[in-house]
Amino acid sequence: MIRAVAIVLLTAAAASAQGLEGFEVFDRPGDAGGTVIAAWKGVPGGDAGVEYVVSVAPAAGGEWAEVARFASTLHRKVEAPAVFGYAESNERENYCPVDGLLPAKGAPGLAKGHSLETRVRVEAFRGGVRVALSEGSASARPNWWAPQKANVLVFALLFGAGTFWLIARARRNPDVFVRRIPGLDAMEEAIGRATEMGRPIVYLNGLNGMDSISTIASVSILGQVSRRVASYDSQVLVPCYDPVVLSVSQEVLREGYTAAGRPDKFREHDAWFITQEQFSYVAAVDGLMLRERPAACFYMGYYYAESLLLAETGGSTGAIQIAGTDSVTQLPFFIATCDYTLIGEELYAASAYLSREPLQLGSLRSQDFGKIVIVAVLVLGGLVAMTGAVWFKHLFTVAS
Amino acid sequence: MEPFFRKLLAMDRRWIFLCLGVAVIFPTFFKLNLPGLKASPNVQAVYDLVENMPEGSKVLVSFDFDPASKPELAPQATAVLRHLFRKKHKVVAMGLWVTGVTMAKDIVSRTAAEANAKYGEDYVYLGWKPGNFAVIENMAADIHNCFPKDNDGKETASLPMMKGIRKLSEFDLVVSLAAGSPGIDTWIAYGSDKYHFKMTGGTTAVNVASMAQYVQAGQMTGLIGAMRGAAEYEMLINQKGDAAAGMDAISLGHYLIVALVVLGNVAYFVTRGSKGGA
Amino acid sequence: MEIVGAWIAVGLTLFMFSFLYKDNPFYKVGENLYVGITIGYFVIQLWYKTWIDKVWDVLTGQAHDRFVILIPVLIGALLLTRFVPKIAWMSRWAFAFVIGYGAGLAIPATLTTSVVIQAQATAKPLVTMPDRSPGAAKATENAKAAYDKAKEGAAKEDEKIRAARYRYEQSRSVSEYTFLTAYRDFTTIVIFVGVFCVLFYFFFSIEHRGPVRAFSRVGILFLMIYFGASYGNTVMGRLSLLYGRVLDLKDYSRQMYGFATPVILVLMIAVLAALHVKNKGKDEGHAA
Repeated sequence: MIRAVAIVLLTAAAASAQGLEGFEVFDRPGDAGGTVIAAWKGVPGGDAGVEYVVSVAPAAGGEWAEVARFASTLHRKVEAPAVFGYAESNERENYCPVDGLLPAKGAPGLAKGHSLETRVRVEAFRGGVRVALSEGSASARPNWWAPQKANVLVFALLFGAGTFWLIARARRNPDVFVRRIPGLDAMEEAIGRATEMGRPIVYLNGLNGMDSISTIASVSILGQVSRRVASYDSQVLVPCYDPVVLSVSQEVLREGYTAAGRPDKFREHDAWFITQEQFSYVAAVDGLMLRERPAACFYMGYYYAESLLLAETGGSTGAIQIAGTDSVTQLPFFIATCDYTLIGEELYAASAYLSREPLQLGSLRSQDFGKIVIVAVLVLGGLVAMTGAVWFKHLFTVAS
Repeated sequence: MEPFFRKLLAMDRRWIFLCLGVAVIFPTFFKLNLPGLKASPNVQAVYDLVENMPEGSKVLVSFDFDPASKPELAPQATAVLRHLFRKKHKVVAMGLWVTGVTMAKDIVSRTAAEANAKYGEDYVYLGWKPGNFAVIENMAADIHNCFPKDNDGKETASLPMMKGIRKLSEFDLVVSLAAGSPGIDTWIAYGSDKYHFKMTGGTTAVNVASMAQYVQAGQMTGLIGAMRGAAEYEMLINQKGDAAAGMDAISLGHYLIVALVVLGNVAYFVTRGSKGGA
Repeated sequence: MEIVGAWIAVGLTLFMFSFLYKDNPFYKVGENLYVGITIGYFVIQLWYKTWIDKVWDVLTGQAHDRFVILIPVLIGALLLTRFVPKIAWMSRWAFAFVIGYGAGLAIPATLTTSVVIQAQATAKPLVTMPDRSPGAAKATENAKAAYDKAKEGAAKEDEKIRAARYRYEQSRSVSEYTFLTAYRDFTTIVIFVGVFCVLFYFFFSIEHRGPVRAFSRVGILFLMIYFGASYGNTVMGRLSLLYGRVLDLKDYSRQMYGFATPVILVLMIAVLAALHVKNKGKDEGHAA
């Protein structure tokens, strides 16, 4: 009799089963809503050979529906560092994301990302016998704050604030040091040479419109070139690909000549529109170079496949050639054919150097500041990683 | 020697065009079977990824190129799709380049027909939508909303395969075959880095160097580079196609160009000394 | 129909290639057609995929919130006010929306992809410590077993053996310090030095003197190597494109396409030769 009672009691205990260790159900943090997460630390007696079954039901009442079934080696917390961080225990603990339940058709709807209060039940089976069971409930909602992306926000704020501060500083004191760029010295030489030879300079602004940073930089450099040209009484020819760039170039030339005290020498037709057909433009410019045999050719701005065609023809006329572009695919061709090439950011730096505009000077400084931060991160990161520590790496991880 | 080199430097460039044309055309008539083709780690990584996914995995293939890059990227697309269909994965194809829509459809339907894949059940072709990165953002929220209809005007929601796919993050793999931007970089910046799905792809030779940084940083797994990459992939799936056949022509062209670069440099240095005096 | 398609494809390809000889009327026809067709195609795609799918179908549908679509349509329509100078200022609202939306999406995405993650990936240990855990040793053992099995199965070295050996070597390089691990460390160091020095090259706020000069000199060397690789890759890309067209031209030379390639080629050469003779006469006339 006593034995029979003991058996009944034991069976009842097994049927009621123990709870999962550290079980909790919560809204997934830092998402656009829709998901709740069930997480637990383990099963009493270890999780070897355990299979979990996850079911959901509306909190208001209703049938349980199975949504996932997996071995304990799967769905480890380490797969979701955005939610659980980088604790070592995450490699042994499990979780399961579940879609929050939505109202039935016809019932009043919920705002986007929100769900009904959803009950989540997780059962643990070992050898077909249920050994643990836990239940909890939560509703999904969208979150304003995504903690896993905080590092990106810090970077954005740091760079943003740095840029504004440096621009403001450059406004107060435009005497900002910018190192001399070798290509710029060569420009001066080229203008002098053109004057001596009595031949013009051909200046191209690239194929992009005024919305491109490289075109803005190019036009800004043109302003400075035109001043020197005006003071040396030489001539600069600016065949344009884009009508808007043409009007800006004409204006810039006029200003340059005026600033040099030679407004009478300005000829509006020194800058003119050719065509917006890539290779027709090249053909026209090549023809111009062969006819005029310029003393110098400047290729500033953004270029495409025409770069080599232009620079080769310019080279064949014996002109000094100086290019400046941030078009990475075309840089090799300019480097191969030109006497000097401003590589990428050097183009913007040249523009800031020549124009001394606070906005450009401040931005240039802020880019340098960004580079210092990156160099520091690289050196520190390399050193910390050598010690085997991973915390530094995690600072720069945008976790999933 | 100097007069020869001087002549060489002054040679009409059209002779070079002609030589190059001959070098490329010759192997299309006479097979040379030049040696040296073996799978690079990056191509092997793409192959392993597709090979080791469980059957029926959901894969998005984005055709981010147009006919101008067809010789490089169409063989890649064909090889990858053949592999995907062979492994019985569920393929959703689309494109971010408007001028590639019809070409992509041809490639998808041809490779699907080879593998007897059924439209709507084994693969779907959604076509193109304007907006570049906005399309990716839109797909991350709801694919059915972004593409209410497939390329042929069928309701996307009515296709059996699409019933189980609503968001970008539900894909087991996204493959972008890109000739530029929008392409791999767009998919990484607005897709995989944000919504965390596995990313791989292929690109043209011009872009290989700039895309390699994403592989090195682990933002994508493997990269098929240019026609050579396609030939390597064809070799891995044991089904030679256009790329493998083109390797002879490409190699011969390369030999010619290397010879010209060397000759040009020698000529430059030989003639340099006397240039000033001329 | 297929023959017509073939003739058009061959004709346009050869028209474009004729630029290698010199600028000529064939090339001009090809170029203008290309621009026109691309724009026409784009407009049609835009009409069906945006206007019909995303606006018209929604407005004529049953959804209760279907009229919300009119808000973005209105913002988009404001862009068209640029054509009317008096109210052109209204287009700025649309631009403000486009730029605000674009920058809002682009800045965090670019910062994440190109700065934060790239910095994390570059800051690696310069020397890898072998993973002595039992898991890594087991993975190597399994890979070796798979490699041995692959070797037994095949008589000669084939692709499967090569792939199995590749995987074995990869696993071994994690659990032990092998040649492959050393090679990987070497590439890590090269990347580290490259990034470091190139960044120094692009410092504009300090004079390039002393150590900074040394770093920036190394930086420019790295840049030149990159440009060399880029140059080589571009050549490879262009050759692939040429090969692709050559293959199509060869395909269209067959009888089933009416010998499109040879016929058009001969006709074009004849016309170009005639033009050459005609223009030569003209030039001589001028000279006289």
